[in-house]
Amino acid sequence: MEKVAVVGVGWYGFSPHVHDLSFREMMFEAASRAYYDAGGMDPRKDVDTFISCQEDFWEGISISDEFAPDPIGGAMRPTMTVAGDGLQGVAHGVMQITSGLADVVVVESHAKPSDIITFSDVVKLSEDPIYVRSAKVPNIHFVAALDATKFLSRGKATRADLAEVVSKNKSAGLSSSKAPYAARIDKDYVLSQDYVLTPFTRLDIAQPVDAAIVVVLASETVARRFSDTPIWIHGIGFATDSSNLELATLGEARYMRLAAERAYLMAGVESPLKFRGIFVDDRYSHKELEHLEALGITDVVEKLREGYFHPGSYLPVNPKGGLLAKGYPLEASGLSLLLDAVEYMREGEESAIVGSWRGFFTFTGSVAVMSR
Amino acid sequence: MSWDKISKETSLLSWKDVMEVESYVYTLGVDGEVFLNGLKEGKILGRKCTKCGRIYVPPRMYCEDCFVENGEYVEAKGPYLDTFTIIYEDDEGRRLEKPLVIGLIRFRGCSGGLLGSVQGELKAGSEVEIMEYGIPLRVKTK
Repeated sequence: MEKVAVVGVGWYGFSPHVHDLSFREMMFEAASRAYYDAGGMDPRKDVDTFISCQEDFWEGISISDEFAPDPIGGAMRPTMTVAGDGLQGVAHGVMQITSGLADVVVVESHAKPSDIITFSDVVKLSEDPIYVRSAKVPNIHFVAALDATKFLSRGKATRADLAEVVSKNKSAGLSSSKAPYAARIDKDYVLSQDYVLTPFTRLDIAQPVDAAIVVVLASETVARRFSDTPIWIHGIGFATDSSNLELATLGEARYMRLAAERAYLMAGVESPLKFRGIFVDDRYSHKELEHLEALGITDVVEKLREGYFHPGSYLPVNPKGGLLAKGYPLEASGLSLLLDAVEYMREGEESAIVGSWRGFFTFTGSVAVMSR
Repeated sequence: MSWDKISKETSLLSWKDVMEVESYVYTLGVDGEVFLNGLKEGKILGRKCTKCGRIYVPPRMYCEDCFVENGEYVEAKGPYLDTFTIIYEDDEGRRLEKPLVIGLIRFRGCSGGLLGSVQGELKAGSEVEIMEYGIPLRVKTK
């Protein structure tokens, strides 16, 4: 089977508010950078297929995928859209390459939440209208909070452990060029904050961010034409738990476990502890720990307390700050974690696992296994 | 790539519009009607898979495990508090006059559950008494 590499990445934004560019212009800027990074690739000649990952409601335009091709160089070229997280789009790109359909695939995702004046109202439209939305719960984070309470009720992690995750990731983000929410704060400062809703303070909840990200994938046959330092994707998978709140598993990330099983099988992974970094969705503090468990890491809480996951330690987790420091760019969140992993390996680390979550009211996740 | 960016806020234009999403009719479906009529009578109804016996609350037409049409409606009993959160702020960051406790109420021997507004001592796994049948349920821990 053909191996797949990341041969180019580009991004634009990672600001709480990109004032001057529309989301389509942000896509163009990110794509231009990705093609430059891929050895000056010409998307009009060198790319076989394009994939854009997006949801209509965020843009305030129905059927917004009609606008996907042209800002990334894909006008009148084979283009598909994925109504889901960017890492799901990468999985589709991998399938297109391994099936022999394409040699070069471009995956794009973007977010401009600063354009959404009634953000929480739009989020609520993704709730089941009859059994959930009609309850008129006044805070959109309540499902994550129910999940976190259940996670904590299992008796391993405490509120202080969640605060440690916040402190670790926000501090780690200070070394990143794309982490507007990074801050040097300690665990006690997090614990001193008022609850927004239990068990979360404002610091435990990642904030939305404007960003566009483009990733260029290539088959092993052509990868080195575009990059001297390809980053290989050895396995990738995505999965959905029961899609209804009342039927999905709370307190553990079953979607991530299923996705990891698939990706690990494809890549022949024996243990995630053998990797040099993990980049996992932490848009709520407890999610980092829940997702690490689902990736097959045992004694997660004990390892956190021992500093095992801190930057420079045995298995750094979100060493570039995660979404708590960078913000979460909606459907581009998975690509933002992948972007961190690619940069991390280009800086010299050997391997990484990326685990993304589709976010609010979903029980869908994706996992990618990568190395230099 | 554009090298010339506008950096002055007052030079920027924006286009404001309204996205119409306020009116929509959601079909309850067969099981939704049965469930809501049950609520009016003070009953929580579920529906049982004819193949594996799994009981869905709220009721569903089909079993997601067996992919067969579910059979009889059964009344769900033994409500308990599976998990909860105490909400202090609304979506705009305003403190609520009084914190609101929202819980996921499950029923012994059933899959699924319903949202509930919870009163009483909060402990995951506690049995609850249903004070008011609605969405959300109003419950009190025992």
